[in-house]
Amino acid sequence: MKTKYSFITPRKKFYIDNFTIFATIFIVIVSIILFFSGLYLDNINKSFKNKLIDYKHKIVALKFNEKEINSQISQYIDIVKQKKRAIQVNQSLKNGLKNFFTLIPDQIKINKIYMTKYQVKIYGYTNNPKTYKLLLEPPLKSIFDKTKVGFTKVSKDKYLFSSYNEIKGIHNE
Amino acid sequence: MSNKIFQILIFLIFFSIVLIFFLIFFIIPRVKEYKANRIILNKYERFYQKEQFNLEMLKKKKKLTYQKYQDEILKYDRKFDKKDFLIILKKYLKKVFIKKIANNRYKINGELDDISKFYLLIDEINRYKNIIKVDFPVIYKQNRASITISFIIYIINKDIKKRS
Repeated sequence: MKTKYSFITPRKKFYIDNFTIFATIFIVIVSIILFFSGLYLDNINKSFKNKLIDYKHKIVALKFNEKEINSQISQYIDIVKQKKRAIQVNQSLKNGLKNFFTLIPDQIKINKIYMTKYQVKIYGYTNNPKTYKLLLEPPLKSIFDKTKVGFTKVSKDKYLFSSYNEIKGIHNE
Repeated sequence: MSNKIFQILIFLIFFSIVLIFFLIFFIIPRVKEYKANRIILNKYERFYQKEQFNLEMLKKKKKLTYQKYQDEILKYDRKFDKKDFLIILKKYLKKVFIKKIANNRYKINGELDDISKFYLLIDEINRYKNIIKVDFPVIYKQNRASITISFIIYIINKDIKKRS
């Protein structure tokens, strides 16, 4: 028989008291919450960085598209310019020929015309060199910068002429 | 009682240390990073929206330009049909001969009764379904009964770019 010194049975005592347990649990919970908040922020930052990369790619693609569309627009405008230029060239050729034929007097008969961008060679007949010099040479001189003519007598009142006319200064255009 | 207060004080100090540690080394740097990223992201978002708007405007401009110059663009995109062009040439010239001398370049020889037909041909060329430039040399020869004319045509179409 064990000897008892008290009438009540002693309550079980813990080494760590309740306050310490609650305080520790509280600190641990707060730490966990803060830790996960940090991780959550980390995730958000990562997703921001991914979005940023995504935006960068999208912007590069947009810029590329803009460049493409701009080049297409300038191509359209270039086509229009080319068409206008072609019509202009055709029209000036037509008008040039028209004007040229109005210059030729009845006394002069044209055999051949060789026309390049800056030169016109005219071959034909005239009843005499003076007629050419009086009637055809002055208008040709007013159009061209350089005019040369050579005559070959074919018969008594028939001369073959070859005229070389050139526009200077625009060869390197 | 004083023992209890001392315990609470210890707890508060410890809690503050933990809290400050987490805030300084874990939360605040991330919040700062978040703020900086948010600013950059907003900037990029605005820039992207602006670029998107620009692109839409450009698309509209392209559409309008296309509609405005559709005729010219279609002419440019169309392939040159030598046989079809020969039909046009035959309306104005006799004994027509067309020969390809280079890419997009053709030499034309033909006869005509009157030079005015050549002027009419040039007008027709200007209206033709391809963009055509009459090029030099133009050779005019007066024969007894007719006129012989020789000239070059240059076709302006998309095939020019393919080569370069």
